[in-house]
Amino acid sequence: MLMLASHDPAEHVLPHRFFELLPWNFNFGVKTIPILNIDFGPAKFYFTNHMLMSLVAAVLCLFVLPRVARAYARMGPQPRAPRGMHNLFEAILVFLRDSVARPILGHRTDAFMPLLWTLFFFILFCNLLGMVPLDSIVYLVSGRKLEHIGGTATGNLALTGGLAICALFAIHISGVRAVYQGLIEGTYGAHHDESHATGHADPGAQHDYPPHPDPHYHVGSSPAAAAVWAVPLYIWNFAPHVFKPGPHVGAMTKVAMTVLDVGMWGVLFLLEFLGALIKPFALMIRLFANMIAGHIVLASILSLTFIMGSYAVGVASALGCVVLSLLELLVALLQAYIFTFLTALFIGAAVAPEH
Amino acid sequence: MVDLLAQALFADHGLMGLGAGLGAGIVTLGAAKGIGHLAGNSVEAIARQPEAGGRVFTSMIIAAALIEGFTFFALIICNSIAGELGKVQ
Repeated sequence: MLMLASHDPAEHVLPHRFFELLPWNFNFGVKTIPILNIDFGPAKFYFTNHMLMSLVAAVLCLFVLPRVARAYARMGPQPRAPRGMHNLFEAILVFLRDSVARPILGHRTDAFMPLLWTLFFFILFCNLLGMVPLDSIVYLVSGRKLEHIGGTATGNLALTGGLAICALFAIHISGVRAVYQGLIEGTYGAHHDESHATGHADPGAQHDYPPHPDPHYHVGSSPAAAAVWAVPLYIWNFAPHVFKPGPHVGAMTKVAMTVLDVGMWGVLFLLEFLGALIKPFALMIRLFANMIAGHIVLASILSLTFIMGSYAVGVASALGCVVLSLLELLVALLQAYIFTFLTALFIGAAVAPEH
Repeated sequence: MVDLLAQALFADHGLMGLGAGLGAGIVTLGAAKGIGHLAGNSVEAIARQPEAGGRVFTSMIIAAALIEGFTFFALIICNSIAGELGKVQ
């Protein structure tokens, strides 16, 4: 009781070290990075309770999801309606594919569904495992010996940072691959607008290439040339030319429009380039902050009982914690959905930038 | 004399606590106004066209989660500032 009386709400959410993983020190060159729990210089690599919970969530994913997949494989030629756990997971999987990914990604949905499904279920299991008071249960059952076996893995900036890095790689690598495919097939730069439908060139268009003689015949590049040009072209696609002057304007207007165009292009390019890095950063912060905020508020309200030391406050704070935990469950599901949805959105924007 | 005034105001880093507290309050104000406006408009949209209720509700939830994302980011900054209150002395 005395230990719990000095309960700091932050202790509930910070990672706790179990044992050293690697026996040497890491010198980052900076003394303290408070948000990563690095103080006084060289950092050691510990195994924390957040790592343990993320391992538990990963093992749970690895056990549950292949079972669902095998239920599909075992179905045979007569697909029946699923029952039980299979039904639960099918509802979620089909919802993610048909309502979240297909409107965004279109015909490329099947290529990205493994990534999106994995992201959703890993984040969901981490969030929900954080809602289970595993550390208190183990603490009491073991006779007050084993502390901190449990916690919210996604409440760790390093884990959400890792997930955001996965999203970052997925977005940009898929964008570069889409440009590469377009270059190889020769369909890169083919705009599907009205000029192809009517057969006439659009007089207001800002393009400067001649219209294709036959829109169904494309000349592709060699794989080597495509590999060289894929990354620069993908980066070039970040910003379009907004004010590029057409062929039928006077000289002064052309100069003015070119200056304006280069200026706008520069600003747009800088913003888009920063945005490409900031969007996964926002993904990381959003997930981390939502998980941390809920647990800090829960721990603060619970610690109110021990500060006041009265039974009435205890009952009231316990009821408040129950209601807050229900909200936390909603936030756990919602944040997993939001992460998946935004990753799908960014991948869609990267592979088909003209839409 | 201005020296004394400045020392009285700034010496104990109490302004840091003021900044953190006011910051958290203002952030909450902005977020509540934004999400309240969003919720009001989306409820009105559902009332006008009940058959579009599913899509409107989904968009409302997504927008609310996005707004809350950077709200919590600002709240974490305020919390970090407040956490340094005991250390700076």
